[in-house]
Amino acid sequence: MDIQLKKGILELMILASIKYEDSYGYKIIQDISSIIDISESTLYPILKRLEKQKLVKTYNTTYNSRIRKYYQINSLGKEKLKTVIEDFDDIKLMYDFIKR
Amino acid sequence: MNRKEFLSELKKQLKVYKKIDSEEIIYYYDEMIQDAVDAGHIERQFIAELGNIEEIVRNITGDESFIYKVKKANENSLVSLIGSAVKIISLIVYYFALFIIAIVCFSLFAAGIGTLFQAIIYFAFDSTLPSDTWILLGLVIIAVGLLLVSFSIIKKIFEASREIKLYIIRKTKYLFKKKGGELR
Repeated sequence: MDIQLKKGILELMILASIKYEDSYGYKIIQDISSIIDISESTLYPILKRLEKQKLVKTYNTTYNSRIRKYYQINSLGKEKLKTVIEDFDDIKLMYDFIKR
Repeated sequence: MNRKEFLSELKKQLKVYKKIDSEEIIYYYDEMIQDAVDAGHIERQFIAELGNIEEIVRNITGDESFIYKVKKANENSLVSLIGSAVKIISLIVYYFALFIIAIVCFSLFAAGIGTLFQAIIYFAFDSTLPSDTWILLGLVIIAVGLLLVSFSIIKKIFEASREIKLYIIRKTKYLFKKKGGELR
């Protein structure tokens, strides 16, 4: 897949993976790797970017006496997912146009 | 490679990139490995699957040209020296150009004011023949024209100063890049 396109989609996939439940690095990869190929080193910059864009919030908790960083979607992130779903009809049209 | 070895190697390779929060990346991988082990992976195997550390660093820092730049700067201090020298020289060039333009504007302005003043003096104190009046009016027009030109130049300069600065810096950098290339 085209790298730019994949980056954008990965961003959305990650947002979607924490839509209902806060998650952490390893789990995010487990959750989405069956659908889209992602490596640990690709995930990090995307998480960082989501955090920078204030689409997610992070917090640390202890698990097995070590620290684990959790990612939590916020209202801006949810808004973004919503607009993507709304945009999907347009994307479908473009897809049909490209495929034709 | 076990977790400790992997993390220390990663740390070593991230050290080069000063702008990157390497502590955070180390934590990220530490957590990732421990979570994987908790989920039933074999530590060494999981680390092997993470891939080549150099590749990880390249991926994580994202910007390939940035890495290239940093590496180059580290390999060759001359390049970084030229980099900072170029910046200073371009700024000197920029301010010099600005100075020249300012002098030109100032002389235009002074000429305008002087002519205007002279014309006013003639009108006010000297008896004027009808033919002189036309000449003086011409003078006034020239004076006003000079003032307008100098003002508009100053205004344009203020508006465009940022672009000019960038343009000059880019040009000098380009020149020096050529020189730098030859030096290397």
